[in-house]
Amino acid sequence: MKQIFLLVAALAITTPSLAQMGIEQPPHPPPPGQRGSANMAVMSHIPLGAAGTISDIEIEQELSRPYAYVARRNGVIGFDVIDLSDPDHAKVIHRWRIENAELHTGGAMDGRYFKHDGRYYYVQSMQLGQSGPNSEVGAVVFDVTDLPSSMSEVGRVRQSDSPGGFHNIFMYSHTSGSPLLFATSAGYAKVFDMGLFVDGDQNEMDPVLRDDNRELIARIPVHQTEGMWSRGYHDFMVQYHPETGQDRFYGGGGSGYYVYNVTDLANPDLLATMVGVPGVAWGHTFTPTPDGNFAIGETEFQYQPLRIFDLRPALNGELPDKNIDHAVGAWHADWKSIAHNHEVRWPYVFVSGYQTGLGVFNMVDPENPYTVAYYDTFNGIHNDRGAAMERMGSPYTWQVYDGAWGVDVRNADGLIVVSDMTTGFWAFKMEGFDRWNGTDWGMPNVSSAQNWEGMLE
Amino acid sequence: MDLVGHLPLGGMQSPASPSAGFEALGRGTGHLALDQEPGRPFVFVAREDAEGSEVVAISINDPSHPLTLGSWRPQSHSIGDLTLFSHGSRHYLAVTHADGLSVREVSDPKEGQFDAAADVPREPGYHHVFAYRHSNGRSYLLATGGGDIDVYDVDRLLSSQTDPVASYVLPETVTNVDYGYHAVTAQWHADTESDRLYAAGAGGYYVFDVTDPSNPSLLTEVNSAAVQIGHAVSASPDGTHLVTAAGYRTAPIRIFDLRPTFEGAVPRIRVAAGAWTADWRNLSENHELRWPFVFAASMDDGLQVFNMMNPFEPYTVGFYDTWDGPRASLANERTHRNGAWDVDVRNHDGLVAVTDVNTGLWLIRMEGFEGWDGRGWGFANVSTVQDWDNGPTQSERW
Repeated sequence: MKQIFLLVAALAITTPSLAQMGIEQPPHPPPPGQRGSANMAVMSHIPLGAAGTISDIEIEQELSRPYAYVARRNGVIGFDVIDLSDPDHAKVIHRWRIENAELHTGGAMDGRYFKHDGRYYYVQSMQLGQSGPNSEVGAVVFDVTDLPSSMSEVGRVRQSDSPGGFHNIFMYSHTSGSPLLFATSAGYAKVFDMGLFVDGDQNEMDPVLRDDNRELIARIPVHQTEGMWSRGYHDFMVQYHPETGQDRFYGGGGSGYYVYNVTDLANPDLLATMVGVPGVAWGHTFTPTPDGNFAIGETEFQYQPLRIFDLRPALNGELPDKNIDHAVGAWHADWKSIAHNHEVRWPYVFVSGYQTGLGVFNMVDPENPYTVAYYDTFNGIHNDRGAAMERMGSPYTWQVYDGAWGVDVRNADGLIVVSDMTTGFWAFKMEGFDRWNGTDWGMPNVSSAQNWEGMLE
Repeated sequence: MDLVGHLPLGGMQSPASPSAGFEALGRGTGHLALDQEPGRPFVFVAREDAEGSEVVAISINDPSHPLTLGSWRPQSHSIGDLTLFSHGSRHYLAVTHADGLSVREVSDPKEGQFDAAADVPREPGYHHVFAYRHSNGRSYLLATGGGDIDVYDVDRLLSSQTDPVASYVLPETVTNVDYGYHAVTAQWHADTESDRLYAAGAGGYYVFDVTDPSNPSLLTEVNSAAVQIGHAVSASPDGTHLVTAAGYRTAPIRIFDLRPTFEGAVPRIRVAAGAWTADWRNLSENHELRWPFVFAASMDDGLQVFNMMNPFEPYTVGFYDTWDGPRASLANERTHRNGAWDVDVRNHDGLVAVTDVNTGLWLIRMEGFEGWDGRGWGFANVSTVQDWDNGPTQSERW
């Protein structure tokens, strides 16, 4: 298999016309019957509620636990649990909503699950308005082991000294053996030991000593430079780097993108930055390839493509300042729109592209990524000036933040799930993508999907 | 689009140049200036070869057979921009380069004339220059090179007084961007009877009232996310819209509606009304606005023309591929300087001149575009083209 991969890679790099091999998503609105590419099959679609009430999505990776979680916001704060035991007929089996909904503003944003001591937990990040209760809550943790029948709240991760909640979170199975929650908070990626959290009080002194920070074990900083767009992170991912045996943190925020070695959480070590990149004033989402050589960066501004960065010059010590100032490749579904979140399953990148819906591109040649599949989950008006007038009193606002918010991929069978801000939950299968294991592609088997048993391949 | 004439100007760029790229392809052509007077069928083009940089005077008396007349080679190895202006009965060419700004008299290019008229030394040189006939009756050269906008009075300059009469600084320092202005234009604003200056630079784009050149007044600014340094800017003839370039690959040309700031609704503009690109992977380096058309030198995509009558939805109306060689790669900066670099439009007959880094000078006509006069579109007759004899104040009258 490795030889086949090398051949494919060599062809890709030496064949200039490869960029033309991709398909092109038709401009909006797509002609009847052309909402999706022929190789993308809709398995299920569940409208979940009013437009704008849907945010991110998470799918469990074990086939025996066919559950996806869709976060909700703007008046329906909580999350929906989707049962995918029959992917052709997905259904909502639970709807958790925060108590006293009328007192809360804001919403649930990102969701991640983890496994600890044989039990399964779902962490729902929250950003609740400071005018109401629970503004210090960053996440609500549920024991979901007993799904589909029941689930129960374990507790709430609070940060009273830095209210505002967690916009994004990531659950990571660290080489130390702990399930770690990385959360955007107060200019850092704060790191919480969720094993400690769910284990609860261990002795009679714990309730006495317990405070918000009992499980807070580290803070990953944003490398500070002058005139930063923001001082914190928007989003991040953590991934094992087999070649060096390191746990590596990939963060978007500040003035671009940042890579840290977080093997020793007490001493995060800056490995690379991507600041001063033309068109990138701020980093949003940043996701590495399995080998950590490349990373895909998103910046949340209209007309901005997804950029592919080659991290090697910084990681290999070729750049004294460790800064990479240009991308090597870029991808767009529609240049008038922007992408949002994405999941890397090399060579594929699954993109929740706001108004363009789900897009999948191949990055086997990082300099010439090309579209391989798509499905327009959002069929509303693009860049709606009328809505802008109504909402902001001006047509001059970016009406591009609607449509596909989140995407996730189940590695065991290649099931793709998407949360669309307006149209709800979607499940897809892409032809020929029946599972993903990095070793099949000559890559480490690492992605956003964690091995909670702690066995690193 | 009809191709009228083509003159390869080839020559290798200096191998030491970081933008050398595909060395074997002959990439030496840069900015151009198209003489606007009906009796002066000349175009001046900057080019570079292994010997250095030079300006070439080309006769387009027969546009189908452009003919090189002569050249001038400054000491500097790096020529930037060119602009033509008239003063009295004489004609001049201003040239920016790594050592500053030079003015040469080109009243008679047929005889290969490039007579020295002024030399302004300046470290670290100028990049862009724009010649403007002000409503006060004087003419100015506005020069930029990544710092302030330096304003030179043509009368003084031609009298060997080479100090600027004014320098315009950024309204406020843009943190994390060690840069000032990149490019500048100026245009009469008929509605308010004022001279307005449009500048691109650190932080985006700026509009000043320069009716009193010694006291520029900031009218508004455009700070769009993802534009750290504005690259090029033009204003519609009525001054309500800006057409802007950001100078990096993947950036479209953005169109901004300034009216909400002029009406006091917002302090500054942050969001484009619309945008246009020939191919989102590439960029447009320079452009010329002849409302409703924008002629864009779009690098790998050659000459492109779009219609901005509806600024929300500009659309392509014509193109000519001046470069059909390898496309630039984001990964290799040495391949970025590739294709159509500069464009100019002759208002009296609509002739379009394009310089392509690799392939030289192209002369093109667009069907149905036989000249441009703003009054024909309901505007003042203002563009980058100046009325050196009468100035701009009567530009609304036929």
